[in-house]
Amino acid sequence: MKLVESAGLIATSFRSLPPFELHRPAGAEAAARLAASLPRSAYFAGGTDLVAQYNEGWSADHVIDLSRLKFLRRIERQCDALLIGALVTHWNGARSRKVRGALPGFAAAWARIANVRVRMAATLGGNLMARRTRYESPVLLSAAGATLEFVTAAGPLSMPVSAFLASGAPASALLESVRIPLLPGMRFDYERSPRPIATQALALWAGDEGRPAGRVALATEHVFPRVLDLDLSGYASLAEVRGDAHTIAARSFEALPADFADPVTGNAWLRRAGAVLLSRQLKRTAW
Amino acid sequence: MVSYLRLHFTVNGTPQALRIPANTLLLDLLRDRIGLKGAKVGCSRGVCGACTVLVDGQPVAGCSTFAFQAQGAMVETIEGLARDGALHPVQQAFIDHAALQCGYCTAGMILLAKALLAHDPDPDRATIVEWLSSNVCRCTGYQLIVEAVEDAARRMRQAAQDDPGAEA
Repeated sequence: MKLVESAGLIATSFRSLPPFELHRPAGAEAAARLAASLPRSAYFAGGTDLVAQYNEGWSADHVIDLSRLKFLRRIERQCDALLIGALVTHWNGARSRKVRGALPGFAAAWARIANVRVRMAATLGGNLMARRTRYESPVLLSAAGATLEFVTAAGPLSMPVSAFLASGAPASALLESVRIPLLPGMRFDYERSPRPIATQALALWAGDEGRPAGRVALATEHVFPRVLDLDLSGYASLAEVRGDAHTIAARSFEALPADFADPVTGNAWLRRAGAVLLSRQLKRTAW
Repeated sequence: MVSYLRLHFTVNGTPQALRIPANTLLLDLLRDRIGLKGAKVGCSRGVCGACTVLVDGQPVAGCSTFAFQAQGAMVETIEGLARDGALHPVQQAFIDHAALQCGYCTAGMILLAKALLAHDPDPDRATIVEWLSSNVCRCTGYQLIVEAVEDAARRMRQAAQDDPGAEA
């Protein structure tokens, strides 16, 4: 509280966050070494989630600002993969020509998460490393079969996004980029209309001998995505998949493990809803 | 490694050089050190957008942005929008359309709209709704705000046609 002569006693806006030492390394390896050497340290990217964590009572003694690591903002299309730097914001990533050219459905999905103000500040890396079940990039990247590329004090480390979500990254590992495999004919769809209760991403591509293949990732507000590989072996074309979307969707979600549920949505509802969403997604995407 | 840093940035066109603790939030700096109270304290979680300011033209939640992130940047607050006593077209449109009630969200909404119109001078209604959905208004039901932004866009396009050299 503060006494202001003209107004009397008023509340001030200052809320003192726990103090920290700010570090600004110039390279990824230096950042990873720094994090490994400092107790209670945290990387700082866009800041949207880190400040939220502070407000939730979390704190760090050392904050390692990554803003000088410009190469973490790169997006690179390689022959078999799309490489997205950890500091790419949702806004820039979803609007990137490289992303839209390689995976238009993924770019469209990415452009729908959060809101404009958050998309402009928040980064893909920050969204992932927060490991919050309600965040959406893990759903998209799980369906896409993405791999996370880390820099650690001991050297580089690759980790499938599903493994990262299950167990986290090693302490002090710095997420450098996200690698999305570019499979032949890959297309993508995202269903978030029931969010936060459920969100679901679908990837389809041409598998062995050009036959359709696919993967779906279903998540809830409280549970990380569960990935189901679609059994499309009996279908010669996407047109056939589209024509049989309802059956494929129902059969696929019979395989949803019984332990996949959360306090709000039971397993039976998720099986039913997942199948409904998948049927819609197949009809939208398999053409 | 610093626990304090010297921050150089510009607020509403005025250069600032301040020594601040590293853990200072941009909103606290603007309100408590610089005395600009237009950006409001709301949810303090980056959700409601009452604290929205522009950093290099981009809307950010001041409550969820550390001041050190504004190093070298141009920060705009609602206090800096009027020029020579004339309100910014977005401000005037908000008044003309009664697009505010309690006013708590208004500064953030206006700055968000200004950023939108700098990005897209002729947004369709869906785009306006998408951008404004970044912030929360508990009074107006948004309809009047959307109409104000549509009108502000028309006015700014007209002004640009009438005087192509004028500053938006």
